[in-house]
Amino acid sequence: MILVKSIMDKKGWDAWTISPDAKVIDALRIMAEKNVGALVVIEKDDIVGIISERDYARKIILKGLQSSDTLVRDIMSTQVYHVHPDSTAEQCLALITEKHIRHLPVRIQGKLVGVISIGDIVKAITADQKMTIENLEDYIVDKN
Amino acid sequence: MKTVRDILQAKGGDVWSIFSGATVLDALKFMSEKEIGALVVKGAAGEVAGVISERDYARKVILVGKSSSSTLVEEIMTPADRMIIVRPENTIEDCMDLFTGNNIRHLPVLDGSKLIGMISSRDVIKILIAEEKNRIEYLYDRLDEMRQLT
Repeated sequence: MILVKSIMDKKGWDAWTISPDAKVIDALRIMAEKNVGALVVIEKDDIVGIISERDYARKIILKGLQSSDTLVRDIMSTQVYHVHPDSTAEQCLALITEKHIRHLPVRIQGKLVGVISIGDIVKAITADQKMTIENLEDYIVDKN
Repeated sequence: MKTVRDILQAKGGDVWSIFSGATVLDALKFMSEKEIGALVVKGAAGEVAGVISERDYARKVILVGKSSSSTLVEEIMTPADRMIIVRPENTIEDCMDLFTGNNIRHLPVLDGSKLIGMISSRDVIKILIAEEKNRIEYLYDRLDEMRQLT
């Protein structure tokens, strides 16, 4: 069973964030610089949203807006699904699939400690070969 | 062992592409309409010329002073000779290795030189979840069998 914390230990506990009052173009610059697809939006230590490449692709030019004068808060997703370091990769996959998202903020008691992406999980599954009968056997024995 | 062919059969769906001479704005409209994140690009003779994604748009237009309405798809796409693709006989593991190794989320599927579909990391994840459920059910059935014998 792969836990979020073991994936985060390998990839790093970084969380790239931005203010809701920053411009969308600033968000794009940070995403390009950090080579990520989304930023968690933080206001006074609270997670208020998440802004992704998809938000940019769908909600700026197609709505007649410009990234240089639109605020992050105007296009971010405010419905944020998060996980905990002790959450499992399977739980992450379920959220990613059901909610049609690619990034999940990782929180400990409400505090942002990292972000896990669909890519991080695919990489962990590939590297770990955990989706094997042997490990599922262990899982079932434990459950019983 | 699941193959790309199995994944395409399970997901069904249409095969979308855009002309290399279309504008990036056209590509965005089309991707939004079809609710997809990447699009195969075709040249004037209908040949596969490359692939364009949301990330190409996010990185290569506004940040370099261009605009989507005056930039052509061919200017920001990944061209065919650098494109990562899969074939119908590739396995789900091949797909996962390619996503991870190349930091990408989409794999065009080519049969010979013919585009027959696109596999996303989300498609692969759906299969993994379904396979895990099947395996768990299978193992529970085995456990039941074992209990009945004792």
